[in-house]
Amino acid sequence: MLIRKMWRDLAKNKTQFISIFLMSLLGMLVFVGLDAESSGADAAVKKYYETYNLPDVWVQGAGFSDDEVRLAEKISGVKNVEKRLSLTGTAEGYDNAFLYVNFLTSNEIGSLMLYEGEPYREEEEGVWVEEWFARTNGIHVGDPFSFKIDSIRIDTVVKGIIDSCEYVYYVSESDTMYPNYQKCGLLFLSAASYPDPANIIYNQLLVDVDDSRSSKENIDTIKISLERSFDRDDIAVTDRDQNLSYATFDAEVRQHHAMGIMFAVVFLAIALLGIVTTMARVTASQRTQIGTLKALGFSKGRITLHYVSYGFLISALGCIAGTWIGYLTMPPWILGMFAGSYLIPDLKGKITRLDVIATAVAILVATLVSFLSCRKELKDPPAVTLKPPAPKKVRHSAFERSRLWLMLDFSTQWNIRDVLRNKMRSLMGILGVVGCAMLLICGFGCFDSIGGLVDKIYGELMTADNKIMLSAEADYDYAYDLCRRYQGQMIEEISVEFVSGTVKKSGSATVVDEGNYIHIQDRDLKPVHLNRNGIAMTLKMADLLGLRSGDFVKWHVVGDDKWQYSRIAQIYRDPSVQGITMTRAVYEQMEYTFIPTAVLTNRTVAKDIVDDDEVMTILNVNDMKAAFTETMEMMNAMVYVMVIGAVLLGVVVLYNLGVLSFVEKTREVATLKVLGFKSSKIRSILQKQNIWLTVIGIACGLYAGWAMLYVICTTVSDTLDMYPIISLKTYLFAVVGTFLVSVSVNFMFSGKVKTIDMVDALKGVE
Amino acid sequence: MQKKIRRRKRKSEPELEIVDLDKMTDPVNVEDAAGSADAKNADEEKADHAAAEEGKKESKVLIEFKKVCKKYAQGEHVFYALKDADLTINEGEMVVILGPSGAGKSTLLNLLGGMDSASSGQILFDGTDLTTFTDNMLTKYRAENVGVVFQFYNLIPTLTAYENVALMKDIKSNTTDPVEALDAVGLKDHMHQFPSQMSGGEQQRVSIARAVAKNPKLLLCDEPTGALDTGTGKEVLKLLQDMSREKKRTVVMVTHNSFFADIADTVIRVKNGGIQSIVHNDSPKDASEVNW
Repeated sequence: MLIRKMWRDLAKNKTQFISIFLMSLLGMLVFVGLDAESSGADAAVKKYYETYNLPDVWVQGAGFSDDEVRLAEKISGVKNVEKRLSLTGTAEGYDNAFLYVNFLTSNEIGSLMLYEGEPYREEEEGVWVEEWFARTNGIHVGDPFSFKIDSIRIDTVVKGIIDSCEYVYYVSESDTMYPNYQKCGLLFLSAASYPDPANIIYNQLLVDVDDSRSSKENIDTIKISLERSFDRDDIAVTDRDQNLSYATFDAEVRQHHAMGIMFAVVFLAIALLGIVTTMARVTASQRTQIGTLKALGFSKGRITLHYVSYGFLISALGCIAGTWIGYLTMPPWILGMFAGSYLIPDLKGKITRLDVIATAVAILVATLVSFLSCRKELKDPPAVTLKPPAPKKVRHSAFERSRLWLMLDFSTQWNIRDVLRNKMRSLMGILGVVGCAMLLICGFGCFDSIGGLVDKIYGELMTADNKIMLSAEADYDYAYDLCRRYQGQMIEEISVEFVSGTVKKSGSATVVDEGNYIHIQDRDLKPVHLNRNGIAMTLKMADLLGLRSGDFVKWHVVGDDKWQYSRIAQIYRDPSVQGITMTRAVYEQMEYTFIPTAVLTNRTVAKDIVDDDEVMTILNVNDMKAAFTETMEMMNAMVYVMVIGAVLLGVVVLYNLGVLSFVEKTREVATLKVLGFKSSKIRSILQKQNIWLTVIGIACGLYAGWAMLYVICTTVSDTLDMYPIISLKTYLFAVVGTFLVSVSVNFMFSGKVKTIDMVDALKGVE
Repeated sequence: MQKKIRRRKRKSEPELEIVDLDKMTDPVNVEDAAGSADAKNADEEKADHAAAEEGKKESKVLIEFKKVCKKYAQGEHVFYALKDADLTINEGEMVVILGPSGAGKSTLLNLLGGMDSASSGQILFDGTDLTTFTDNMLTKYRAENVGVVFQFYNLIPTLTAYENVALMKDIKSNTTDPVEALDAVGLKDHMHQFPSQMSGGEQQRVSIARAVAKNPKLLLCDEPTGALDTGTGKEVLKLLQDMSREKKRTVVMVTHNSFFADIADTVIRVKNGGIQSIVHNDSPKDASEVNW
């Protein structure tokens, strides 16, 4: 019979319980959705790496002899070593797409995954093309395909469409960090296809480590052994964590995980708050019933179980539904967006043990919370519970005794008292508003911050309208001519490696010639001049290496055996490129030759210079901006989730609160009506309190939103140095949006004032 | 009328002495409060005792209050809701506890029903001392032995008449069939209605059906007609009297309505937290004859 009672009670308080249901559903949906998505992605990529034997260590150098390979193979823990020649080139046709070209040997390490055509064979001539590049450019098996490496043209035939586990993510050298697989391709050929197969010089070694020795420490030991065995300065030994493709995807997955937890905590906290207040209200309103049940001889345990099962049932339904829906909808949605950025087969969501545990914990906590909130009504003997509760001890606060109090009008006095005497309810109202404003600020702040990032990179740090990217063919004279013709500035952008203690990081170095298109900003984002006597390092890189201004850093240009030991003369901030910047004079002082890789200019550049072998491409600032923004799609998805969450949160919590306070105030409102207050007057009294709470909530929410945005910006990735930017528009939108939600929900409830029947409302209680 | 009561009161004096004499058996009871065999022995002893001393009443003592106090502390101020109450209730009796508001009659009822615990003194039920009971034992006591009829019926609003009665099956095994219990109070036709669809008198009858469905040894009624008009009240009263007369149940009714004294076997008057008088009524009136 008590079960029937429960169902009918649930039906009676359906708005409350539906809101709890929704909150726990949303919380679990977002958490499990993001977790299943990130776990699924993680599992898929791990399987991919394992099946196709992703190298554990890469060794780059000017060239490796067979003896060196044999030496490397002898190192304990090393299972297999494979040579490879890795170059870059441009496609003939296909918009002169940038290409990564790999000449392979046995391909036992980092094996190619075949979609179509023949599998790779060592002596077979022909080219194997990356699937996404092939698909977007309409390349099929059997098609002829030509490309150029430096000035050498290679004509060949497509043998297969493949994917490589080494390249789940790659960007062209000239691009920003966001991939465009239509304009940047990936080719694999056998060494037999190399123009001069007899004299091929391999510049890369792929090292496969025994599965039993693949722990982080072992890998580090093997890396050191490899460095020792080669005993030359021009090599770079890197592991998976330093591999761009591996590390980028890994960071992405971890970030989603962190986001999932953050959302779930916010939503579940609100759901729990809802359970506390709802259960407290349900048990308080059923005080006499509880007393009756006790008097009839129901044990405390039975009654507790009865009321706890409300919270349990609702949260269990909500959490399980949320888990299920989250698992079904979120992974396909987000992984679908992944597909354009990451080249991983079989991406699908995966329910983990963590999801199951989290669901169970959420239900457990909700049950515990409802236990705690109904315990209050159960502690007294039935004789006490049968009587209406003793009136709250009303004490006048200091403020109420002050002279100022007397100057306030009735509605203000009434509202102040009401708030002070229903602290829990008021707090929950404020928290709902805080959550709503916070998520709105954070969501739209993300847009602002990305926008700010774009404006900063292409408006403050790089002020040229056009960037002419030069190919390896271009010598200094060609660049100098171009520079004179367009009144531009020459720069050289190269990949470098930094070493500080045991930390090794890849980054970039920018060498700037005379000109006014490259600017740097200090720690506080104030423009400063580039130090003319030493290198300047980005703040993020310095932090990663644990260095400060004045410290020394060891670095070398990738592919060059000469190591530099330089003092960091200056620290600057750059949002997207982490590394060092120096003047041409400083660079040349280190006995490097300045070979420009790009020319920056504000002049309109003649289109036909692209036809020169020396010019790779011309990048327009607007294109670069658009490409950058477009590729922040993942971020956009997060923003949508946040904004939808914010509005739902606001509506659900405020609605719940509205029901709660309205029911509690029914008698008071009826009394006011009997005393002759007009409905409209009463409504304005109720709305007044709501406005106070909303204003407080918004004030706190703005700060909380900034804090949340700050956390997101600073943890977003290793290469992005983002800072939170919140525009006035966002502030305005968040404030007005939250206010509208709050006031309209309250308006809806205060509309019910008219419907209160004075006589009925005042009868009820004995 | 006043005179009559006074005379009766004097008459009842010896009975109070008997109560005092009963205290002699105290040590036995206290020591073996939990042992039912011994309690039974004590019961028999007591019954023998009572029979020997009084000789006129055959019935067994069901409940005995000994110097029972209930006090509430409000800061430094101590307030006695009940002070040194002594009384005896026999099995099968119809007892009316009379008194003005705040006299302590509700406290008395709550203590009888195990719904509250005494501050001091002893409450013997079938020879077992309720004041030594833990919360769980009190709950079991209520479930097994007590049926309560409330002034405001206290039906569970979300359960139908039938379900409210059937609820008792959840706590006790040998309950009367709900349909039978509702039939006995004349509500078989209304048993699928919710409390809100019934009149006050009907609700109170459901409440009585619910209370007696448990087959309790003790039926407690707190102002059962308090919220009803005279006609309906009379019906309810009649029902309760029948429970006592025909079904031989012990019925204890609390009321401030002194007219109800006429239908009781025993009338206990309460005033200012103390027992004012205990009067036996040899020829109680029929409930239908009472007017107020």
